Amino acid sequence: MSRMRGSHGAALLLAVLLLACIAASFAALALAGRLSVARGRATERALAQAREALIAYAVDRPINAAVGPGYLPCPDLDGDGWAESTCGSLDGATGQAARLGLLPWKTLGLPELRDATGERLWYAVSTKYKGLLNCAESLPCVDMTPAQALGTITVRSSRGEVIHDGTAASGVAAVVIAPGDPLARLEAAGERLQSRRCAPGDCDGLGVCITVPPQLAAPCDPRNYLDRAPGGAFPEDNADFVDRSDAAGRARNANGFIMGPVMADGGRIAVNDRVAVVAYDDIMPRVMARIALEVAQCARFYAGRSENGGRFPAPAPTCARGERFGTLPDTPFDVGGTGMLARWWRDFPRAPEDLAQLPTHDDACRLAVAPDDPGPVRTWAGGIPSSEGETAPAPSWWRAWKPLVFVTLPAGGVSLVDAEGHVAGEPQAAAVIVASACPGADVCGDDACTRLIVGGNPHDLHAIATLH
Amino acid sequence: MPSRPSTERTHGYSLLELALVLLVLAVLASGLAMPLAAQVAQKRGEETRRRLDEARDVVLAFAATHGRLPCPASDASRGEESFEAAGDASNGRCAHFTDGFLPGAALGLSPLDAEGYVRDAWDSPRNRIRYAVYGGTVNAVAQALTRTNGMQAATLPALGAQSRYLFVCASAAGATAGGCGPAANQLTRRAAFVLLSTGANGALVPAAGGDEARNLEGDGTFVTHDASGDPARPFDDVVQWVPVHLVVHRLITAGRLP
Repeated sequence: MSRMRGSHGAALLLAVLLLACIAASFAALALAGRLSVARGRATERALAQAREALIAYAVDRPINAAVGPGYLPCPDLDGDGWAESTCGSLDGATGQAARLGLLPWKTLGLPELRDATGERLWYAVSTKYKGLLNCAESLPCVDMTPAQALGTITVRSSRGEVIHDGTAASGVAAVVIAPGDPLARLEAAGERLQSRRCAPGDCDGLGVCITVPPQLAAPCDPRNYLDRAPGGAFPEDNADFVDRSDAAGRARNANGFIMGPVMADGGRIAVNDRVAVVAYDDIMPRVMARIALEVAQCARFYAGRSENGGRFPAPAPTCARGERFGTLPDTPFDVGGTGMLARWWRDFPRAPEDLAQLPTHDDACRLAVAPDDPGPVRTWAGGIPSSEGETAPAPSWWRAWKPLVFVTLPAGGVSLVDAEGHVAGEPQAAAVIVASACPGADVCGDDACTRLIVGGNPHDLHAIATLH
Repeated sequence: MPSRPSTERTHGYSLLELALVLLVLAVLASGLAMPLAAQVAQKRGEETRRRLDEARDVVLAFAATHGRLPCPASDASRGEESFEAAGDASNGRCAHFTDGFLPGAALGLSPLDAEGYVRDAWDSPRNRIRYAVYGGTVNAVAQALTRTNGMQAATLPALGAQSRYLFVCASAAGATAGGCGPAANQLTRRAAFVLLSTGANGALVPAAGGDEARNLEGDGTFVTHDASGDPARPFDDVVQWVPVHLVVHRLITAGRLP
């Protein structure tokens, strides 16, 4: 009797304790599970913020009459947060290693983004999208039009398929990479443990790499962060890439990046890099919208001058859509005896002028030669260029974009409709259309383009800005 | 009575077993409890970052909808924007540009505390998320960022050309209202707005002159670096900021610029 009672009591107690133990470990596991989800989110969030900042940098930076929008910064090679000032030649034949580095978060104005494992983000930029110090002097460099500004970086999915082909037209403009935890990197000579600790003397007190080149220091060496897929089906090393923009070099662009995770033989992870892309489609439609807005602002400013009385420069007819549809003419505008201005904001010679009506360097129309006066209010300065207000001469972004910018100025104004033909906005006086060729029936709702179809796919390669 | 000794023996083993099991359990539980505390702290850090990220997105959405950044809330504005006596949305004259709180009620955020503010995950009344916005003049437009369509009036090129907005520095050493001091100390000088959580020690008043004290100074210069447990200079603030050109990007996308 007593033995049975005693044993039962202990068993019950043990069972309760065992259950409590199991429950506690379940609770701990659940919490750990939630944390790993949160860690995954942290990486995604950092990549998304970097992408948005890069797109904003390309599209929305202030421009001048020579160099337009569309450029991305060079990578940061030494880890100080700032983009290096140069990263290779226009065709990409030189400076290949300088186009892969850390995300230049200070240049982008961002907080120092880190992935879920606490690592800084890496960044590679296409040779076509990087700026050049002397870009304003070369027409191929200022030309960022849809047919020219093709991405040159190849990206493979984690299964090895090419999803963005840098040897053809579908390469990407930039990639942002979250490197993840260190692992044993597969190299031709065997495995190499990724070590991210700076050797004595290689870094300064702030952790900036001071070796020449900076990649010699462990924290600035891409091989210590970016992984290499096993050969065979996935012949890809994320620590090097090729992105030539010249016809001869383009075939070599197959060497790009691969998205993790990629498994090696035996099931261990060979590539744990998370790759986010900034594709042509992310930048180009927005650059076209920016161009449309810039041109619209110029036309609005011109029409707003008292001499012009709300009238726009007459278009040069093209695309067989009638007299009131065409490209923008260059200065001097053919204004006949109308009293309108022959330049974007002034006649020349003409003095004295009402200074209050003239734009400053900062708010001048970017199609035209800007005045030297930075503002905020125009004061008469001796150094005003005699060509002020003329359409900017080549090489300039406008000369490259001009054949792709159309204006429609129907006598009765422009009506805006959606794809189903329903009214989609207030009628407007005129509109600027940026498209890679003569706009077709997906843009103009009728022959003379008095009806514009708006609100389509945001990735469409055309943009509309209206003038009221 | 052949069974007596065996009964005693069985009882003895059970007690020994129980003691051993309890010991093992105690060891296990203590091993489990330490990571649990660390995990809870880590989870609060994650949750705070998530709330700051959400706040960042909502402030940007507000800018796209209203053509301006919201004014910070004051201590008494119950989570609504706080303007100066003669201030309103049309002139953007906030009462607390750089020493106010996230106007959680005005932005429709949740969860809010009883007074209408958003708190970080440590949830004390002193853990309200702080929010600072640049209140300076751009291209002769006063309070350009908080005035309705002020950024449009200031123009895109002038917003880009302006050299300083809010500062974020790597250390309070050398930092003043006018900047971060040495160039290497500067993380950004172009923050349109800054979001700040005072972290686990938010309920305490930070020691004067330290990095955390600088973040409560309210003069438009903030400090952030990795958390530090150094008892002399503890730092666990979480600072998030958005550069002017990202605000501009959202406004252009929304058709409010140029």
